[in-house]
Amino acid sequence: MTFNINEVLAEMAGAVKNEVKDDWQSVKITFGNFLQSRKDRLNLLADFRMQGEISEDFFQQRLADEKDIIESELHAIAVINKVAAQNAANAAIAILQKSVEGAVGLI
Amino acid sequence: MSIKQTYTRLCMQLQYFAAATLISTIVIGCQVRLVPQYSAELENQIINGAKMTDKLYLEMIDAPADKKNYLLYSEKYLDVETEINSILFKNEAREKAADIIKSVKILRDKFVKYKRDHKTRNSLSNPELILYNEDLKAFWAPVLVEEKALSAVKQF
Repeated sequence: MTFNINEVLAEMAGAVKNEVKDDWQSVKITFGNFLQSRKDRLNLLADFRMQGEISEDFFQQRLADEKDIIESELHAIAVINKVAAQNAANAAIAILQKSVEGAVGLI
Repeated sequence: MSIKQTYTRLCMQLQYFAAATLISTIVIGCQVRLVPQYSAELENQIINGAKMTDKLYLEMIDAPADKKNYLLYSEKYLDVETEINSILFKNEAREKAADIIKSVKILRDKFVKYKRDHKTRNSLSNPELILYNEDLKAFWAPVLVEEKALSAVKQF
């Protein structure tokens, strides 16, 4: 079996693309869920404030905490992205490994 | 086939095998690792912690105005705080868990902040409890999303 570096690189690129495509869907869904729950939460917060059921100070505190919620959500998106990057890199390495082993007659 | 030819062929086969083994070892050793390994046990603990938090706040919301004193719920607050600390402790022992640790620390700090507010003021109104519960759900969500994301790590 011969070892064609161009073919191997093309296969590796294809594997990376497939992995990123799968995981990008996961990022989109998660981001959408976070956005929807933020919308519901802020609606509720605004309602309570407009009805005078919470103080201005409590309202401002909740808005400040919203920044920390966003920070935590971004950490979650970072983890999903890292999983995608790990899957893509290892898929590419697996193809390289298979090609090299095939070329030297190990498989 | 002469002995010399057999010996040469054997040497070549050995060289191929050695080269293949070396390359495989290098490539296998190059496996990329950016996140910790998924733990079903931690995922269950996170779900349980979020449930305990929700239950505590729902109980306080359901209670009549004169039964919302901090002391009535201090033990349950401690139970939840212990659960969050346990999740944090387990993550601190994992490699590549920096993002997860940050999310759990944010959750713990907010839980303690809301608990202290209750302790300082002794009682909270229902709108305040509802909003605290909603915020805590939002702080639990990324922690669960992070652990679930780890289950999508593939083995090649």
